[in-house]
Amino acid sequence: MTRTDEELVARATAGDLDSFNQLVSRWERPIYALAYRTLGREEDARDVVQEAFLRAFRGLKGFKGEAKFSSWLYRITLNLCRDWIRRERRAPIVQVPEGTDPIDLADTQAAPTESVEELVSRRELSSAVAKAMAELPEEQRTAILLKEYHGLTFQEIADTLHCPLSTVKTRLYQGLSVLRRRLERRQAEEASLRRATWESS
Amino acid sequence: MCDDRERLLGYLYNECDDEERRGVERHLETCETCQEELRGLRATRQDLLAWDVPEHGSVWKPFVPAKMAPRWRDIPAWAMAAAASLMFVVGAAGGVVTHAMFEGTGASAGQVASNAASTAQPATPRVAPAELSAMEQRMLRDMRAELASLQQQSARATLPPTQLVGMRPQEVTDQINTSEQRQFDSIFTMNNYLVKMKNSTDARIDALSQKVDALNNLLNTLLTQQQGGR
Repeated sequence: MTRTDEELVARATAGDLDSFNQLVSRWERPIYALAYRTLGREEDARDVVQEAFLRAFRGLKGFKGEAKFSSWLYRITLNLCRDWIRRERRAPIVQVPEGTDPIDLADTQAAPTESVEELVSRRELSSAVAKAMAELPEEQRTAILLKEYHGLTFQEIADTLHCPLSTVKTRLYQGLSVLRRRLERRQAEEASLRRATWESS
Repeated sequence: MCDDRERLLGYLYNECDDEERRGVERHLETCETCQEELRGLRATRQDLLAWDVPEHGSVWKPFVPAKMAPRWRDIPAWAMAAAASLMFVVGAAGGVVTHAMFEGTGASAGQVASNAASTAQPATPRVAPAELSAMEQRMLRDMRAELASLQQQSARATLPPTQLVGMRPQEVTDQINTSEQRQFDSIFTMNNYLVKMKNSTDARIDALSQKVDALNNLLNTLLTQQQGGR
């Protein structure tokens, strides 16, 4: 029988440790993904995930259920990420590989219908997106992370970030617009480079 | 509409009602700027999907509940009091037995007789081990019977948890108070019994001691008569 988050929270609050373990199993991947995309480093993301669940466990009794458990957990994670960045006194660093090594790709499992060129292209795009996201202001980046990668509604994002609905939409729109310009510029540069390479050969 | 980015965003993410959706679609039919804007935003969203998160092992170490040691609070107070009293009485009885058996010089009957000629002091009364063992056994039997009786009383006094469901708070409080009173009465009764047992034990020991004294005096008299007849 699959219990809802609210049921598991109630049981965990009553002392059922296994219910809390189930909550962690359910939310560890999304929380890690959020922390990783915010901080840009795997080790930092792991530390934040550990701390986020510890704080959630300690704060369970104070969780009143006014918001969704996931929203509450996201908020804890984002606050930890913000504190982490401030403490480390650096902007989030994105792990962008210098170049794509074809030998390294040999170990990468491509999709069945994906060619090497497509795989290279996908990895380069992934790096480009990571870089572009890292350059966004924190509020816009957070809104896009929660919307695009965690599927929260506008209202859920507003509840998580404790800001008005219109503010969420404004941040989303501005962030997407900036990303659009940067990614289009990158694609234009790549297209120009390919053309130059083809012409020279 | 061209300036209403919020409506366009709601349409992009399908978070608008039917009326809003129809309004945006009507506008898009005639506005190339918004069509281009929408195309660009959709392409950007598609690009965002390429951003992968590396695979990772589980970070969290699941909680494992610690093994629970027996909680003393789960043992009824009357049982603890009875066990403590039993230990006290058995220990006291054992002490009395040991004291009675081994006090004094521990001399044999012959030595007692020869000493009796030189001294008027009677030998320390001794109680036969077999008789004291029988007394201990009787005490333990009586105490076990009393404990069994108290357990039955307690079992009758206990209210099954299911019966507590549906009771009003005051009724639950009254039940708890009644149960506690019964437990206190049981402990008080047990305590009185133990005092009575101790007094009874003391009386028996006194009676035995007097018998021993009488026997010793008789022995002394016989020995004196024998020595006087020589």
